[in-house]
Amino acid sequence: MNDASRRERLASLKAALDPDLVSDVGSQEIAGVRPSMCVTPSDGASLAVVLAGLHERELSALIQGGGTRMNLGNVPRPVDVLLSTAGLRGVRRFEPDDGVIEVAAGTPVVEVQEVVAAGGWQLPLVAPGLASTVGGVIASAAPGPRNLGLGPVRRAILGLEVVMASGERTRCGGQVVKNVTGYDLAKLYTGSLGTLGVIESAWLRLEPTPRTSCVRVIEFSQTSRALELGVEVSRRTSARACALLSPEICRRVGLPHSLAAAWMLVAEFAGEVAEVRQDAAFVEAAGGASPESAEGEDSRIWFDRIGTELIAEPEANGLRARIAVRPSKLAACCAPLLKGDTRLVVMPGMGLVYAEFPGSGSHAGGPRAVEDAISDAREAATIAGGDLVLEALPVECKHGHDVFDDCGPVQSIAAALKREFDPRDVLNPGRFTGAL
Amino acid sequence: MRSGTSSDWTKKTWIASGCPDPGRSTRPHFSQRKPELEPNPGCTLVAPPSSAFYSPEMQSPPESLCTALSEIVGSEACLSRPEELFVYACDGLTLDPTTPGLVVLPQTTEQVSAIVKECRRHGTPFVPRGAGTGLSGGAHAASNAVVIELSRMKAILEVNVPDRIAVVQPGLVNVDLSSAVARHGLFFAPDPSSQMVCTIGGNVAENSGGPHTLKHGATSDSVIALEVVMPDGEVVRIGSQTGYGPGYDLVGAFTGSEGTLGIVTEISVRLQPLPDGVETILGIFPDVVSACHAVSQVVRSGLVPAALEIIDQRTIEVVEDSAYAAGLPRDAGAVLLAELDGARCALKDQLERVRALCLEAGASDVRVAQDDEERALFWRARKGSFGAMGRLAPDLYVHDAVVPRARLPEILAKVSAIAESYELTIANVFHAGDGNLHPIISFDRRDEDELRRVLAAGSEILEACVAVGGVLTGEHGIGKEKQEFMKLLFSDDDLDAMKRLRRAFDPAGVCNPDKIIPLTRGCVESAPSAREAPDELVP
Repeated sequence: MNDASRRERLASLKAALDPDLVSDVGSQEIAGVRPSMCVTPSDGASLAVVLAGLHERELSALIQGGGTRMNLGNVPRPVDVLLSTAGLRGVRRFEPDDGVIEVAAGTPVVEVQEVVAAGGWQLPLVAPGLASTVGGVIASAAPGPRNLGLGPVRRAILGLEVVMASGERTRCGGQVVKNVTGYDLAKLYTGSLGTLGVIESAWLRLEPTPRTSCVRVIEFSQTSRALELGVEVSRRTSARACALLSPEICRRVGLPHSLAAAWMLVAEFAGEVAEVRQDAAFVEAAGGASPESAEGEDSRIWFDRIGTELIAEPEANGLRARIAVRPSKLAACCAPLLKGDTRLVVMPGMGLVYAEFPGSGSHAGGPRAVEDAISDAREAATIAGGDLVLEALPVECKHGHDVFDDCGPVQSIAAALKREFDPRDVLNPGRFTGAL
Repeated sequence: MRSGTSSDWTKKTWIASGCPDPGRSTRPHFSQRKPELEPNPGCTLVAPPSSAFYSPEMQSPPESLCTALSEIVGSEACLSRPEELFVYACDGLTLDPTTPGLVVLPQTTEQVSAIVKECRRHGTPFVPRGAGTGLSGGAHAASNAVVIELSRMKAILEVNVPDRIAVVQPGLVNVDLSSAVARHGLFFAPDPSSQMVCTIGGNVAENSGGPHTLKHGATSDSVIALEVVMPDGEVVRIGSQTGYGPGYDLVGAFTGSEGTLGIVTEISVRLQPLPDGVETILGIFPDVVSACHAVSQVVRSGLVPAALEIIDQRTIEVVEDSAYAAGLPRDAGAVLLAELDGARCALKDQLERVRALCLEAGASDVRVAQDDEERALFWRARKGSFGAMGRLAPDLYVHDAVVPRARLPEILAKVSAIAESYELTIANVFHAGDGNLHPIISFDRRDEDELRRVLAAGSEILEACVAVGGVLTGEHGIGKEKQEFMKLLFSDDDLDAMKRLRRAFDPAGVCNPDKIIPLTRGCVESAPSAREAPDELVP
């Protein structure tokens, strides 16, 4: 399709849509592309109309929720429209007696948390930022520290309403906590970065609000001891989050630490009173202490801040890589990364290593430095038999790279799924593995 | 095996699909019994006949295929004699048996791959099978199909204690895995009632649950990676032992796909630590409704028990008359079996909270298992319920549906009313903690009228569950049994989305075909194109 034809089709789409849904997107680049206009459907029916219109005219869209993870994934191929889910907002049904809730996809997670908290529940979705939406968290399925205790994103999802790339409104799963009715499409959509369908709403499982919570910290000078105890602490029954932070990260989140410390273990426990006390005592017996704001709801600030760090832009246009390994391979993964200015956040119970290579110091800024950092990250992942994602790096450095690990032969199945669900490449084209 | 004219087939599918209502759902009626069904007093589990289409032209697999498969697995592992094939005519769903064309028993992934390639070369569909304990007909195979039975692939390939991962073959019996890793302080969480017999591969196919799903999750929460023989015979590995492999969640999509997307030949699972402590409680209630209220209160209170099971009076009577007797009070309207596990230091407080909630809901007594022996006794009564029922009549229909937990009292009253209206006796034993019902009907299928009433009652129960926001199955799967009922819950567009997944894995449609997806469309008006016939097979 040439540019003139594309402009015609875009104009045709704009003319066909309710003008209240269409807005100017400005000249800024989003995720490395410049859509021509923004469309914000107000409900599922208008979302279906928009997608049908895009499909029919062979146009494409970049999907945006709260905009907190737009740089996740590969640089999309040029898109025509920014499709915002911000208009799909609100709690549709809250069943406090059953511990489930139905939410429109564009609703910020923090808003849902407030609603369910009033009923004695918590939503087991970890929101990386205040603007993060339910649909965005599901579509990205990027893990956060509290997924240790809350379980992965997929476990929270009971059912989804999804609008297909060609505009059909569909649903999968249901509102009950146990369900094997038909294919589990919800698992397929989770983490698919919006490339198979646009989530309209979700039925979610809730977890009870814990009776109490607290945070404890320990400093380590030796990596091996830090990792060993980190895994042990993560496996305590009330462990909700556990992270090992390198000194610079400690500084950023406001955790004071001694100069000799190479690592700070931060552990959040939540649950029944007796088990939280027992687990906190375990850490204290190992040399742990209570930081400021260590008890109850106040203690949430530490992993709220750590979570924010994990989506912040790397310093000086550097790189942040996420490497997933089996816990027994953490030491092998960390060893090659412990050089220069590399900052690490390790979640030992989840087997996750976040390595930030700043664009200054030993990795001087610019594309070449990021290339070196990518090589270092790949080397560490290979040594440890891990799975690598280049989570954050300058857009110009993404070209020529697949930020996701090579899927190998399985990529053909992924490609077949993309062809089945989005044959005209309407949704986030090029953003997923293998540039799907 | 099955004969009939095209017009006979058309009539059956019309009856199966029923009259469409406006909107999303249709109303299948499975009230017609297939005329050629033979009485089978030895079978204990049945379900409504499906509307599966069996082409009158279906032929057995060609002799050349039998020869080729014998060369792959050896002649002793390639079964073709009628008396050998008869054993594979059904699984736990004993109605509508269909004898497969051939059965092969491979021992390696390479053999499975070679078998599938030969089947493809001959244009022959194939059906994977584990222990054959499935209750929805997922392992039924038509006369032109090859059953690939995986029970000989039963090894534990690796136990990685530091990472809490096990790698096993699909034919490994569920309980054998937990037994093998218990000495490391670990266990495999999914514990269906058939766990002494069912296989891990079958658990993957059905996304099996069990009583402890409430806290510890179903099979999909434990599986992290799979080796799969695709429907074209290629071997792929999906997922990752790290739990964060790149790409789409193919493991999540594959688990629960009932053997229709490929054949799993190796399974990596997460193991969980054995709990520090366990407390098991038996609440005695005047009726099922008060027991359900207790469950609702426990859930609402913020407690997360490992299990919440209810057994009704009818079931208590049957169990206490059987070898599974556990000293349950015969005059109890219902008992609630609640289990708490976790940090020992926190259990006593939780136990007292459950006790208080039970008493508040109307329990006349709350017993706590004093030791492992008493705990095992409580569970024997629960897990032996179905077996105890087998004494009552030649046939047993074990329903499976899920409703929102808060709607349980309402649905149980509805089930009772349905039983009365059809002059049937229905017992209830179920996973109350996750709203998963198992109404059980004992009957004799040789009584045609009784069979008709059983099947009609089953349909009404499913419709009632869906009407309150429930779903068709929490554990048994769709298989053949409920594929036409899928239209009760899903629109044609919803089902089309499922078909897209299926086509991506199996474009040729040869891997366990004619399962899960209805064979007929729903409301004609909602189909993409108008059709003249009242119903039509879906291609």
